[in-house]
Amino acid sequence: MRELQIQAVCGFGVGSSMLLKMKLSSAFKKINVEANVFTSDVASATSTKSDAIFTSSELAETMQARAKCPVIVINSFVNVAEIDEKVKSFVESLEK
Amino acid sequence: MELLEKSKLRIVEKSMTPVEALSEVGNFLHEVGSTHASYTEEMIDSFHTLGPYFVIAPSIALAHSKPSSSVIQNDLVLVLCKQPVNFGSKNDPVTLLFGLCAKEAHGHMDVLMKVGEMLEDQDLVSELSECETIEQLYNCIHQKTT
Repeated sequence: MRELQIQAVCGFGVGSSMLLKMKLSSAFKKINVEANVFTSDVASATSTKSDAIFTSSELAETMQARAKCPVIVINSFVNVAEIDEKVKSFVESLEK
Repeated sequence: MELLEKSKLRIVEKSMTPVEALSEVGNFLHEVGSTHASYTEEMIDSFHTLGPYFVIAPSIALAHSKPSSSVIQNDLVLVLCKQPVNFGSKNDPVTLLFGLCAKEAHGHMDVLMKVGEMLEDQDLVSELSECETIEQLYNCIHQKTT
């Protein structure tokens, strides 16, 4: 599989998205999938090319209509089990 | 920068609205000399426009705005809300209210990483919520991160 482009999104791309980016990177590593995880802000995320957007539920609602890739909601940015599972099922959805 | 030293911890007993809570954590960053007062306004504005997305996990909020001239130095403070605050998030109510400010987008990676690891521990999160003094709070944070 080619390297995936993954956006971690928060309001400005500097706070909570940074935290999320770290957890996402390690989740992709755990399943040996190459991914370039980068942070974005909510204003530019939908016009940036990527394979998926991971974000909170509040921001997902504002992006869903405009996004050209799956928008995946993470309820808890510190729950490794949730993040690992959502990354895994996203990768599985690509393989189908 | 040392992670959450005692001068960066505060316990608030009174009940607060979301805006009061953001003012509290914003003023805290200002009082320790890390932001100009305008940063607090920017945080409150972003809450009004983007909603409570900074409530990043059950009972945990990471309030922040963007890097700007309002930021003097990178910093992180923690306000323990003894009366949990409702921000209108699925992860309400919030007891651990962090306040973050950064001069540039990648200016606080190491601190965020440590906090992120610390908060994975759900037992620690509930222990932190039950602390009554700054001393307890400090010891609770530093037993696990040092």
